[in-house]
Amino acid sequence: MDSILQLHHVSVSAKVGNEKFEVVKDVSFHVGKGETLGIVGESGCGKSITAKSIIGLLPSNAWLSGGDIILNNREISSLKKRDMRKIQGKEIAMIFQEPMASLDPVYTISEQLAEMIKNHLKLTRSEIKNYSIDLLEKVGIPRAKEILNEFPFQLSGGMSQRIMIAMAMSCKPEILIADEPTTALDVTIQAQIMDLMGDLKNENQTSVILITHDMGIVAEFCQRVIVMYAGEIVEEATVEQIFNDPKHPYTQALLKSIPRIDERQESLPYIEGSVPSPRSMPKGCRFADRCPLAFDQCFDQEPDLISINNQYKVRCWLYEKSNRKG
Amino acid sequence: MNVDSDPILTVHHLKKYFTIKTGQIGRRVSTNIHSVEDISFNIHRGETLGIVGESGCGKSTTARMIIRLLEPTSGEINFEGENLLEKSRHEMRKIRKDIQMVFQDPFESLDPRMKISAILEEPMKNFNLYNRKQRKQRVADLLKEVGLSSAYADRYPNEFSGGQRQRIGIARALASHPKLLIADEPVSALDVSVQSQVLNLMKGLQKKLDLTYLFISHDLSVVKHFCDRIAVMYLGRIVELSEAEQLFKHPRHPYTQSLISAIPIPRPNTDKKRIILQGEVPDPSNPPEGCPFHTRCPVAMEICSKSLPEFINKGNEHFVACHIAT
Ligand SMILES: Nc1ncnc2c1ncn2[C@@H]1O[C@H](COP(=O)(O)OP(=O)(O)OP(=O)(O)O)[C@@H](O)[C@H]1O
Ligand SMILES: Nc1ncnc2c1ncn2[C@@H]1O[C@H](COP(=O)(O)OP(=O)(O)OP(=O)(O)O)[C@@H](O)[C@H]1O
Ligand code: SF4
Ligand SMILES: [Mg+2]
Ligand SMILES: [Mg+2]
Repeated sequence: MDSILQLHHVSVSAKVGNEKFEVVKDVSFHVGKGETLGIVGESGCGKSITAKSIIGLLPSNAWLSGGDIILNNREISSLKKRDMRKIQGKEIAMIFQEPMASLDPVYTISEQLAEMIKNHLKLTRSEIKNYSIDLLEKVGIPRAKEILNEFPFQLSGGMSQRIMIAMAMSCKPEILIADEPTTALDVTIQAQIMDLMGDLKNENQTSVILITHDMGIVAEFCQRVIVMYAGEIVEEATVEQIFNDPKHPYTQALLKSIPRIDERQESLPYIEGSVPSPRSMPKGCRFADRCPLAFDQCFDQEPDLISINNQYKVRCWLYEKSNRKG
Repeated sequence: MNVDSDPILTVHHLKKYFTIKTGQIGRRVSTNIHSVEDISFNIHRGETLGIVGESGCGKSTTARMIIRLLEPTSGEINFEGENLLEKSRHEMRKIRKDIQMVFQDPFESLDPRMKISAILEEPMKNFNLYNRKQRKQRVADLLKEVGLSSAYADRYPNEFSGGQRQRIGIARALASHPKLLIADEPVSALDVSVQSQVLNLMKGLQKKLDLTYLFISHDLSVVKHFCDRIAVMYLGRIVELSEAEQLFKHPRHPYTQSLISAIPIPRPNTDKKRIILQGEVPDPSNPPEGCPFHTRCPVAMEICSKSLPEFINKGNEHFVACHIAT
């Protein structure tokens, strides 16, 4: 598969008050044309920040502190804002995690959609209007025509989310970054949205980066999966490998804590403790103090992300050659 | 669960229409959005009632009417035998202390400028509970209750992860010793491990403090795990209500059946027969005649578009509103 996007050693830092700290460290991965890559991991592990670094929309107090981002053989992280804007929406589009916060409260839905569409597609006003109605109907919004003239506050959480989705899909991007695209939706609408993304993929060879907490969605839609923990990639593998034979102790624990639909559980398993704060990362493995398998080395030295084979990477001392038995 | 025979909360024929202005300036017309059409249910002391349903079907609106953030268009809300809608503002204040809410978004619902201690003391001050010294003590106790260190009292919300913030949200809701806790999507923003942690915590607190929960979510595996009974809503009405296990074993309403069939399974390559809904998502400003689901129902018959099915007990307290369901 041709890779359309590559991240090479991307790090992101942020500043709060006088304190600077790294929130994403040395992240490298690629996305193939037409591929769906999943990113999972504990809240706060850096999924959204990684995604925003790709599309050049980091929060104002955060910046790329290292690495390259290559889109279609072109380095894009050093582009000027103006040049980046040409890419946003058309080459890369993003569905943001906070739909309420991403819609502008003072403009109607149609104004916001039109803004996006007219930047990239050559359409007349009435074509834009019809196209907008069409988009909203596709994402399952009833009374699309009227909703276009409404303001974000008049919509339920799930409706705003679908408007965001319509907006991101409007210009048929080459890469769609979907950050928790269906958290506010019931599963029937979710299925419809995922279908729609599937169509976009099939028709335009769109690549999708899907960030989600829903392991069911990952299992169903992704070909490869990246697992992040505390700002770093800890595992990268095909979806089958991740679910059938997860290697990293964090991935193993994460998969165990999914509530089971097919059996009664009195209490749900979860991972004790909490993630280290980006301001005070431990010196060894970042998962060590919560890891049931940790041994001395884990607390002293940080493991590298090592390749087990060309499709499989894991960051854990258990898999370092010198520690492997046989 | 220890269920009392007396319901703590009874809701009768609750209705909420929003009137909005639509159309172009100068030709504006008023439209009624039927957010909640006709909702009746009760919750017993110590019980957890789950509400699931399509995005925009009126779940949050129902919750907001119960805590009186919204005035119902009509209907009745009885809490501990008293009709809340007949209460004066002054009387309502006293009752509000017994009914508290946990919101979906742990990021938006905590004021970033307030210390955790101030956030937790606020409801105590509002309801004139305790003197200053006792409040300090209660803050420490509450933090302990939700599994956080009392040292956190002096910190600000942005220093906490999503799961920790949601615990703070729960602690705040508990500050006034409520009897009924309404949780509107309390865990949808959290990853599965943190989600399990918060759900276990809520279960533990329920036992210890004899709390009653109204739990809104669209995650069916969470609801199945967490709730004693489940109400399924569609377009402002409850279409099915049953004990949780029973609902999943024998869903009777075609909407519930399609919901359950659409749950993504966290296992790659599972072949699952999924009922994909076709047809138009109905418009809440112009709800269809007959059964609200008939426009998308895969098994609808002629009668379904003509008359509204009654909500009938099919035995074992399993209620369903469908002409065809057996
Ligand atoms: N603007 C910011 N300033 C400072 N720190 C930030 C900022 N935005 C994010 N962070 C921190 O960076 C880390 C990564 O955040 P990010 O939003 O990428 O997490 P995430 O993996 O998307 O989590 P979630 O699953 O909860 O959405 C977190 O520790 C977060 O607190
Ligand atoms: N202030 C308002 N003005 C006009 N319409 C509103 C308002 N608040 C809600 N609505 C409408 O009422 C309906 C129900 O909204 P509600 O927020 O209760 O849905 P919900 O079931 O909680 O959905 P979700 O799962 O997406 O949160 C929606 O059609 C919504 O657009
Ligand atoms: S390196 Fe050690 S602590 Fe880290 S995940 Fe592997 S075994 Fe656990
Ligand atoms: Mg995020
Ligand atoms: Mg809601």
